[in-house]
Amino acid sequence: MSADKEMEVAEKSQVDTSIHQELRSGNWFVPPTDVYETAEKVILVMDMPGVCFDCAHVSIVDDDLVVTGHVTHGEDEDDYVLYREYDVGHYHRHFGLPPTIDRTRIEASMADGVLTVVMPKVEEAQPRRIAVRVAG
Amino acid sequence: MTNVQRQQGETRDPWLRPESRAGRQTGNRPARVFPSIIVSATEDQLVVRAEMPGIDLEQLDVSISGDVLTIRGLRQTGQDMEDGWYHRRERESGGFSRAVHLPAEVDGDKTEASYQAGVLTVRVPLRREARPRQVPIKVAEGWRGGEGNDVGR
Repeated sequence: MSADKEMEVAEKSQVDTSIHQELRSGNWFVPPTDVYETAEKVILVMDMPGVCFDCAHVSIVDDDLVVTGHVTHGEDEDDYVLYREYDVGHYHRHFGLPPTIDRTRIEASMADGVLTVVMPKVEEAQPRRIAVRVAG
Repeated sequence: MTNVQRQQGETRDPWLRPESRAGRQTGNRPARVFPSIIVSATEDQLVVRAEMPGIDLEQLDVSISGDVLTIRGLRQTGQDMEDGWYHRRERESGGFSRAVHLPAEVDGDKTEASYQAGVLTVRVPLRREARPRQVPIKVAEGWRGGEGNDVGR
């Protein structure tokens, strides 16, 4: 299996808890997110390794989509750490929801530490053909 | 954080504005080998953990030779996407191959690896000689913080 590009890893980005004061103590990180749009929907894909699907929470608060993930598979507290390259912590991120999203049809699923949120657009926001009639 | 930064800091992260972020970087973004690992020890094994969400296990290869553990695979992040366009792309993808020199003598034959919630956990038993052992401390007679040089008997 050949690869075109060797992967790099980025440092985890910590949530600014001075802004998000609703978060309790502990490490909180911003999950890397891809945002992809098609004609019919917008899809968010977020990396939250260590989070099982029942520890991921997605909610709509006012005009925001709020995602929180609690880590349960990160490390064993009993183990003696010899060498550490990353910190383990929970995840949290907000996204502004544009009015083109149909909030009643948002769906979220999770597998292998990756959360996918599919947000269909409202009918009016989807591309439509407009028939051109002969004038007069 | 200064007042100016606080005012400009985003409390939310509208994806349509590409540069806004809800957090701050913990440091620079150095180029480092994927995956990042944590190596820890229990009484009788070494545990290597790596965060690698969304990996296809068919493309993942974990092997051990002596005390070198090699993790090799491929991460693809865009294959399920239909016709559309990205507003934001933060998740890395590509091939990776990482050799970890384990810091103790291990018994590679009994290595176990599991993958759950995007975390790879590799457990390698320590060789018996490498396990932690209590070292009895003998008290040396006559050695009292500088008085004389008689050490032990």
